[in-house]
Amino acid sequence: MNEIEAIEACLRGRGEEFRLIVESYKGPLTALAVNVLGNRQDAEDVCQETFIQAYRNLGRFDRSLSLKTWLFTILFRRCLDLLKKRRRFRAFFARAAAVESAPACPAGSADRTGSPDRREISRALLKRLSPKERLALVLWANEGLNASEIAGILGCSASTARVHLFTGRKKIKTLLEKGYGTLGNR
Amino acid sequence: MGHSGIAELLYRILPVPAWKSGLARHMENCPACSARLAGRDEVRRVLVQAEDLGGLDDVWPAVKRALGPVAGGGRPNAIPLSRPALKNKSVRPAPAVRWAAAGCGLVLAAALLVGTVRYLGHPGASGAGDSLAETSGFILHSARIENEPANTYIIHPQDDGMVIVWVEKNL
Repeated sequence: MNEIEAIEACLRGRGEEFRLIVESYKGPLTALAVNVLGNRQDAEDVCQETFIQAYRNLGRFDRSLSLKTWLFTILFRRCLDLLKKRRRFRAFFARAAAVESAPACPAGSADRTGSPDRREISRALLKRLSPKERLALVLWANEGLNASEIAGILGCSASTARVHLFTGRKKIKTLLEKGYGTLGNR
Repeated sequence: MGHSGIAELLYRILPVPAWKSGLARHMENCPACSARLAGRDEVRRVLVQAEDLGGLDDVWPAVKRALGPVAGGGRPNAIPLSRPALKNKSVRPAPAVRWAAAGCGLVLAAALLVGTVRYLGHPGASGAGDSLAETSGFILHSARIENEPANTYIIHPQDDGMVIVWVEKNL
């Protein structure tokens, strides 16, 4: 059974067939989310939410488009939402810390700097690349997409996508020349 | 500076993504310039890959739990949405409108700049110091001693509002 047949089966009420889609795309989607968010736990949550949202809106999927691109688009928007929430969290706790002298540490916050997963991710890379640059790099390097396909996921023009990709590649080169290793080693 | 350096400099100063994109395309294809960019393998080495993440065995069970009775009644939304509606989120004004807006912005900025420069060059624009000079100033056409023109020196110390007029006989 291919993915189009799986979608049609789901639309006929055989939801179990959605498993085929989940199993096919969970790896690339989670990897993309880890690279954008820098945190595996958050990445897995976002990935699950993406599949749930995709299932609920399966009838809206235009079958002339790529399912993979559609899933990446949903995932990236969810990642952006989470990054916005993180910024609000940080701002709130920074204000709280300023009011109370005791340091405030949000339980369950996305920025769990002490967690092993977080440590695995290079802060240097995440700080230097914007989410759009990270997404463009992952889609280009891991998924082999070109600037036009990346633009469709980012919701921008192909020129802008090419600029994100170019800037990301330049920054990575600079990081490598400065001696930063792979993400998994840092 | 080699041509790669010039291209990078240009890339930094170009304001419009479309122009940058043209230059980026050159830099991706030119061997000298592309040596300054990370290649696909280098980027892959830095990024997390799907294989690095292990089995991810709990994704489907979690999705299934969240969807409820997915095998039976949990039917997805079957209302098709047209393609233009899918693209609505990334609607941007037409290029002509964007250029017109940019042009208006440029003209406004230029007008503001010219106005500011002209205002600053105006004699009345330098503030309280000049108004003081106007109220406490004087006009000296000439100084004569014994009906003869005399050497005149006007000394204006900077620390206060005093003006010293020194007139001496022309010997």
